[in-house]
Amino acid sequence: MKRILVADDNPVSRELIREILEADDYEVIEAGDGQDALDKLREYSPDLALLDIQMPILDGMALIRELRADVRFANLPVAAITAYAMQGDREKALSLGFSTYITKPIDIPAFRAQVAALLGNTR
Amino acid sequence: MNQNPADNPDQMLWETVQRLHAIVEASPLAIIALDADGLVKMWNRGAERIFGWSENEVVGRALPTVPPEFQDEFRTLVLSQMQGRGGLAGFETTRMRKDGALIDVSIWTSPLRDSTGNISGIMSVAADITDRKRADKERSQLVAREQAARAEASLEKRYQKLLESAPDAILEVDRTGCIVLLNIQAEKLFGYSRAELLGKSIETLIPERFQAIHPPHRDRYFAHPVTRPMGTGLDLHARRADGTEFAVDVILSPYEADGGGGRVICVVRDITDRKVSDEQIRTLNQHLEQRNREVEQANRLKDEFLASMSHELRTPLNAIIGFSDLLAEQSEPQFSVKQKRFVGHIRQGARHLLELINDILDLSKIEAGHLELKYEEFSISGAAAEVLANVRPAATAKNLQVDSSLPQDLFLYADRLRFKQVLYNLLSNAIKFTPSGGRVAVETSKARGSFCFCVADTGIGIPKHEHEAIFSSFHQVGTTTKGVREGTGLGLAITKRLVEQHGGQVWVESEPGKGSRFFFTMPLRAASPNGVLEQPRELMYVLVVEDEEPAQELLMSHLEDSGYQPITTNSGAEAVQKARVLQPDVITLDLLMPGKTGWQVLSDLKQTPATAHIPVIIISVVDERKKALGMGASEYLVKPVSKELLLGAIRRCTQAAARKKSETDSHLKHEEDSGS
Repeated sequence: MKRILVADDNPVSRELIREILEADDYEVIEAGDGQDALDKLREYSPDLALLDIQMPILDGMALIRELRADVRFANLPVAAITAYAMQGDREKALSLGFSTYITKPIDIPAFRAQVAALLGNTR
Repeated sequence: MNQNPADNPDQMLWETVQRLHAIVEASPLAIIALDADGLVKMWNRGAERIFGWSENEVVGRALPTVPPEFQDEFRTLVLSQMQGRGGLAGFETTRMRKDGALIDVSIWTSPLRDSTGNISGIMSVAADITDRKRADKERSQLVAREQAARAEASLEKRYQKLLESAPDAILEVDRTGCIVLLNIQAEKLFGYSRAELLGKSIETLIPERFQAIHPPHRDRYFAHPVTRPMGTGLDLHARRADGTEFAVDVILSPYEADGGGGRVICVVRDITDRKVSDEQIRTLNQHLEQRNREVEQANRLKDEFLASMSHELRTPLNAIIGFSDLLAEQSEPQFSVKQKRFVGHIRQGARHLLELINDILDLSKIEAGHLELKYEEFSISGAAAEVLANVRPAATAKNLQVDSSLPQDLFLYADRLRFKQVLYNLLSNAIKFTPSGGRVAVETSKARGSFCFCVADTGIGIPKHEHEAIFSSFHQVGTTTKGVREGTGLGLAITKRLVEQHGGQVWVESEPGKGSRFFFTMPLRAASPNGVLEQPRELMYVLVVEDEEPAQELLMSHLEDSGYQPITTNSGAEAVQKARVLQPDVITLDLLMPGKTGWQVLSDLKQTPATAHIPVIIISVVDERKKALGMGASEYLVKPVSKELLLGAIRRCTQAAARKKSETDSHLKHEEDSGS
């Protein structure tokens, strides 16, 4: 079973993603902030990470920098899931190393396809 | 001898001769007779008095009185007399006295005849008019002097008037700073009378604090006297008799007075009023700058507010849309019809709210000038087909006929996404406001440098007085939209701005009950001949697969300099994965890498459907061009790679890809047309 880390400081957002992912038979690990996410990534070695951009302690942009600098996570697929939809946000996220950029509110069918595609790449 | 003289003819002749001789001798005039040869025959005492020669000295000789420069004139006169052409009467000329002095004479002549009547000589009478001549000359000189004096007086009066009527104060100052002349304006301006200022130092008119430094300035001016403004760049002040100060402009002009001695003409102008208006303008400008800063600040705050509002609204909306969607799909079997309807309302309301947020954000971006159009050349029918596919379900639900008559071979150079948005807004409006069973149509024509698009419907129509207002924000046609309220009221405002930003126009022709025809134009533009787009290019991603850090950095800097967005990886495995997820426009690939070799990566990329279409540029130290191109690489560059070579290769790749894409677009459109 594929393991997915979901980092978001909003518990309702985490629950929504958990619901969607568990319905598709993925194992979901939740983290409430960036530091928590980093700790859990090291502990559980998930196959995919979905990171909110705006998080306390360590935000998504800082976290992706750390991950890409770390040999263990350099190749890990990591998606940004964010409510920031202004022009330039997407370009910035991709240039920092996010594999893809998903805006909230999420479109459930499209989200499912994106998750499957991201996981498909690590075989 | 007491004879009557009349009785004795000899006696009478003798007496006549005697009388004539007496007249001749008594005459104050010179009476001179010349013979046919011009020799003096007679010379009276008058002649002796006037000319100085005695009778004995001149008789029988040539006339000695003619000065050398008058000899020609004299000869002509004698010749003319001898030929009997009449005598002279008061002829004025110059003669010479024995002492050499020249005198003015007036001459009368008469011919002398012999007994046969032939002219045998000339009788000449001359008067000395030297004194009269001198007097005449003196009188005319006197008159001329008088006239000159009068003219001079009138000229001086004129200059005086000029000086006094000048609008500026004018003062003449000598080398020591002493005022020697001033006009009435100077009196008025400084509040002194002329008598008070004449002979005073010019420093009298300067505020006390500047009085000490003025004389050195004055000396320096006299060392280099040229016409120039005084104290360029300085604020000059002058002082009135009452001690008050005022702002002035002063122009200095050097001038050499009669009898030598440098002078300077100072033209002084009161610029108090100008200073006041300058100050007012400065204050106004400062005020404007301040306002500008405030407006900029307000704009920035608005942008920040919108960004954060968008974020804050999206987060709860994410929960509402997400969970209501989950409810609709997971729990439907257990729900009553009513509950299903409720969930539907939540989902529809939330989607409307999201649309509203997106539209507001869009509009504010456009209005803040932050919307950058990404120009590209694309097939009109291809883009329209995507829009039509989006709106067809809604049309089908209302049983509307949607007709498109867009030719397949038309290409537009514009922002493809925004063009689709415009078309979508107009088409979805048309569908929204057309009752079921109606018809919606889209068509285009080329006119005057533009494409003109028309979206027509058989809907409820719009009254004339609303034709302009519908394009403003949050406007909806009041009474006529009864029951049709799901719009955001921003669609047409956004449409108008998007079209205008492309340089086009949008308008409507409509009447209530007769349907509407919405038109918009898009200017015809072309990519520049060398294929490099003049308009801002769509951000292009280039995946750089390279394990050597310096080489990687070099490629990145080349790419970033030229506006490409580089994404890097140093492992072959990650390269294929990133290419699949990120879908870069071009991949550059180093052949020699640890782990998965470049050859393996190239073969993986070309055999994976999701990445096979992405052009690959091989960059290597070894030249194995044939093998690489055979395996599907688009370009082959040998290290070291110059910026020009790299960019050239990328350009060829992206152009080839764009051509392929537009072919695919029109191909798809073709299939759709034949399928429907």
